[in-house]
Amino acid sequence: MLNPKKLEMAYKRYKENFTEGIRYEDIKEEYDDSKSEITDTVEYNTIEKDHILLINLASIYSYHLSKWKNDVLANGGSQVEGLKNMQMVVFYQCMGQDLYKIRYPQMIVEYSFKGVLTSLIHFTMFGWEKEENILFDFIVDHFGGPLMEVNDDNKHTWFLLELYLKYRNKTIMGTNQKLHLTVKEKYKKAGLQCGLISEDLDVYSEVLEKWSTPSSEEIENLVGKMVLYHSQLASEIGQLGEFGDFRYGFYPFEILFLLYVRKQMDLYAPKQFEELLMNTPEAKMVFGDPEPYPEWDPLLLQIDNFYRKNYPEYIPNKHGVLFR
Amino acid sequence: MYGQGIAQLIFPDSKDLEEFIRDHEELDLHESLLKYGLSTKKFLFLDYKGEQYQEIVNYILDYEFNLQNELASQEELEELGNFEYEYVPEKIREANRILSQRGYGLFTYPTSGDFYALFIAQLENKTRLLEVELLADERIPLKERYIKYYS
Repeated sequence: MLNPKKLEMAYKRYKENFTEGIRYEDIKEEYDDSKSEITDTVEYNTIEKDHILLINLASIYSYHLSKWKNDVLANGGSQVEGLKNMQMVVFYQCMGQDLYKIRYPQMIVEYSFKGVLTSLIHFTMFGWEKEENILFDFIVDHFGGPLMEVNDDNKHTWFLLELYLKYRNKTIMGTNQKLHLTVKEKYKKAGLQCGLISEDLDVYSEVLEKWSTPSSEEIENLVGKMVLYHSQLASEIGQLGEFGDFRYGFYPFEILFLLYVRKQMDLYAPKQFEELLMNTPEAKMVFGDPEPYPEWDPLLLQIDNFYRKNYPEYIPNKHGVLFR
Repeated sequence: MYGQGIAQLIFPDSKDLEEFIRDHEELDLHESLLKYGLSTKKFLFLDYKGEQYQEIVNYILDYEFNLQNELASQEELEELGNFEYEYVPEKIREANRILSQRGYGLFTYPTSGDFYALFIAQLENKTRLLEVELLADERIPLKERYIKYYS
């Protein structure tokens, strides 16, 4: 049962967070401040302190997050430039982090398993296959290690990963069935951290079983359950639930990804929804097939060029031009 | 039985009450009511420093949804959500200013820890709720052993 008043109030707060709480102008100022730090490091080629670049990626991310919120959520527009840049920055956070695994083995990473999976499925939906594959390889290469910790309690993240594997016919640890359980069992035996991984994926277990059902009624029913699950958690916005965050709380990308996958496979995917969650400007964004790459953020470009020049082992160096 | 009386006022849902009495017969009344209230989320647990976010408003929303009866308008709850305070009782008073118009109140259940356990009940039961010395602990000041209603 969904409490519509609670949901509506939560959504209002979600929106206000970026119009009244965090203001675009303030974030822009922070972004501008990081400009000089980045430019100095790049200009004087101060390699011994270049982890500053990696750290500054976070303010580039915040800037584009704020831009996306401003364009889409606050103004009801359909500009996805900010969202695309956000996903791109996460990609470069991973690539940059890889350079410091020996120099700073204890360094805390700025991204999360959840955030990286979010980028992966966006690259898939955008049709950016080259970048999708590089990011997927990165996830697999570092899976469970300090660069890709997977002790994560977000059920939708495990759902997204498994649906992605099924869709792409890929595997992790040799499987694309109940991956979270395989990981949990293996890590438990090996004495690795896995306590947060939930054994029961709730509604998602059922969806993973029947995601490719030919029955339109069945898929509508499953999507309805996903909407309810997400909406209930989003009603608790600001508290620590899996959809309680102000970044993606009311952006049902896990549902949009399921619909995308079905469309790609010529399976029926419902288009019209009555629920609030599925009618927010974020839920209604339309991606091209493929979606054009965004214009590069100039600071991100400086950082990428710097790493490409100074580190032959930098992963993007092995792949030629990216995001172009 | 006096235990059942107060339990019924705090947890008027009779199904819950039966469950409570069945599970907690042998324990201390104060503690068992507290445990039951917190574990079923019928009590709102709040750190003595206050809310992390909008716990009081969300608690009222959940309560009225279960009750299927509106206790506050959306505007009133939005205002309550934005209400700034230093000490928790200030916010409880503000909540009570709103809830009292519909005959309900936000009460504090006595605890010996540094946290609040809050619950909503009908104001018509206020006198009976406030008259029972629940917390039989000599080390706690007398007035802290009772349910409180801030208004």
